[in-house]
Amino acid sequence: MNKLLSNKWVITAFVLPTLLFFLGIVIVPLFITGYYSLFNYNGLINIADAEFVGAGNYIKLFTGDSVFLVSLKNTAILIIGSVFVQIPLAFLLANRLAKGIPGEKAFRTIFFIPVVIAATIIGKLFYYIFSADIGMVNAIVRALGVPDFYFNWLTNPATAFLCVAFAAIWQYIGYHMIILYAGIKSISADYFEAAVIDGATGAKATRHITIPLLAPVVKTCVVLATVGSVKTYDIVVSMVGSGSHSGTQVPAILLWRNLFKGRLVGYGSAQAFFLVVVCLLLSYLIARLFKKSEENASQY
Amino acid sequence: MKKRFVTLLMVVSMLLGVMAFQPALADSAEPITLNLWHIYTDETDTQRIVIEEYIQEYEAAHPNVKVEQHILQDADYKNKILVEFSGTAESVDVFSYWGAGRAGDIYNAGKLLCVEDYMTAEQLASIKPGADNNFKYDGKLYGMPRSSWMMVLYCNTELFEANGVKLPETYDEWLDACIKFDALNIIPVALGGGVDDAWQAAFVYEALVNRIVGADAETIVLEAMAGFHDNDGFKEAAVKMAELSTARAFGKSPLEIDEFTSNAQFLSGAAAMRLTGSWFTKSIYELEESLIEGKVTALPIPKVEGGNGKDTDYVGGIIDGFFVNAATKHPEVATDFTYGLSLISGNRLHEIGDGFTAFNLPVDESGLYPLAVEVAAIANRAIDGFVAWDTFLPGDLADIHLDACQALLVPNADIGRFMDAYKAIFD
Repeated sequence: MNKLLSNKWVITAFVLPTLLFFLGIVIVPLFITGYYSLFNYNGLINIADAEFVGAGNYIKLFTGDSVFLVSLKNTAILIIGSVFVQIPLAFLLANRLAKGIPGEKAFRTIFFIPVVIAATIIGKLFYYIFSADIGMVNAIVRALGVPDFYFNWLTNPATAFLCVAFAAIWQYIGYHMIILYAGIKSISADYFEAAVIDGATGAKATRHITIPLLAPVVKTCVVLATVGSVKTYDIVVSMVGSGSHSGTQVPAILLWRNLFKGRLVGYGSAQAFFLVVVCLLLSYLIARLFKKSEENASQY
Repeated sequence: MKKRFVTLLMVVSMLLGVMAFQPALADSAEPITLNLWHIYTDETDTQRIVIEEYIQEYEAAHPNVKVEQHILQDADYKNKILVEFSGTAESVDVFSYWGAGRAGDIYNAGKLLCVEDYMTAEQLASIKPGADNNFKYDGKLYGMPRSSWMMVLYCNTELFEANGVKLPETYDEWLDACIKFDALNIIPVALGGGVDDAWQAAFVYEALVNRIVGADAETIVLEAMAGFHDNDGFKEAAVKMAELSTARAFGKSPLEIDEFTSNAQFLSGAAAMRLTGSWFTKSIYELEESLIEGKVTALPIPKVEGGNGKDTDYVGGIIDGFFVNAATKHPEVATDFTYGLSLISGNRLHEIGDGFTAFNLPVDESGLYPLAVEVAAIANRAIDGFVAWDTFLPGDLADIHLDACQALLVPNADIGRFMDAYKAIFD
């Protein structure tokens, strides 16, 4: 068997189908998208008849499309919220659960429930929380003694996207909690027992043992949260629609509108290509950022 | 019973009329399948019923022809058709679509059939003058008009009378009425311009443009796609719409509700006014949730003092109809089918007060609802008009317009930003 697997031709035969599949559905379309992005193209005519604009579509992204810039700002809000709010909260929950509490399994399931619910449903639930007319928030404020209180949380540009971000961040806390919980559970109890002997318990043990050893898992969570933020679409549409009136646009919605509704295939392709590059770049930067922590973790 | 018999007689005579206008098609036994794409998903909708009936009649008259329907909801349909036409759209022969800029994209790609080449002189003459303007490219007919619509201001007279509010004829009276109804906790104008119904917000802006800029100047700017920023009227219309929004003319949260909800607000008597197309008339009479039958009057869009809009200007016209794929294997049959379908549905919509037919052939108006008669009277005075911009502009530019109008529903909207948005369309 070993002899067989050391044969390069055999390895190639095993890898080739997957490689071809990957090339066909990811790499080739990516290059086609990059190619289309150089044209003023509506998808209805032959690409050979389309006007070549070179970097024109990319220049327009940053100089002639204020909505796209708003969508990038919103993505940044989502990334920051995911990395600095969602993952820390998920860690706190995971750490508490992993230490063992009564009803650990039940809590684990409860916290994970929002993840298995479709984002469109979560969006609608939060719509009913923040809606000005029928929403819970306004009703609670009124019940607390401000009878005339009325605020358009979802259509006021100052609050609309924050409400969406709140919902998006809340939904996936359980997702990261499960990943981190599994990571914490996989840390050998020996470390913690040794720490107890050295006098390090509670927060100290978390800081000096759990967090350093969890670095590779945290990295995975950060990559998933970041890429997930860039791809956000459904929860925004179900909460506030696809319009840009309240500053709630995200790149995926713009992509859909440009490529399918607006027939701006060339421009939409430039946005898509740019986002792919951003995702790859962010993944690389995160990998670099965690490189040292991962090396330290592997030395344990 | 008698009314049904008369209606049946009219339908039969209409069908016979259509057959009489048909060119002599090759009496071939070759089996032909026509793929018809449309958006009429509701099986109880008049349009859908007319289509089903016409298909049955057509198949009976042409035994070798089989018509297959492909039906999708409006938003999905718009996307799907364009995806189909990204290629050769082999599975599309006849399709409902919007003329001018939208179909213009498909025409520019050389994928629309010039139906004029397959129509008889009688068929061409049966279309009312000007009714096919949005279906012509380079002077030739590429699509079949069906019926026109007109924007009117539906007013709940019971609410107006009970609260001593004057029916608005001018913008100032309209604003005043809105302020009074808002103070009474009655929704002044039911408008669901949020979620993905931004066209309702655009309706308000287009109504004000019609009265301030005037239909003639509006048409020149839209057709030339230039001059928007040279005419202060376009900005004034935005200012006035923002003024209405700030006065809560459209309720407290028009961006949170959709068309369905705003219809319900008006039909239940919770709202005093509804600015929408003439197609809404039949909802007042036919929908179960309507509590306002007999309590509604239709008014033209309020005039704006000092505006260039004439009393005879209107918002509306003919923009949607049926088109034929240039790649169809059966251009003659497809054109013949499309002409008959357009004629019958246009006339039927006219008969039920849903629109005004694009054809010269006789129509039975005896069954019109009283409110439809009122709307028809307004339509009869109308001369110059322009259709909804989002149906005229190409898709990407339509989105810019819709987004900008939606932003005017936010209190204290930024007018400068609104005007800047149109630089992408008109500069």
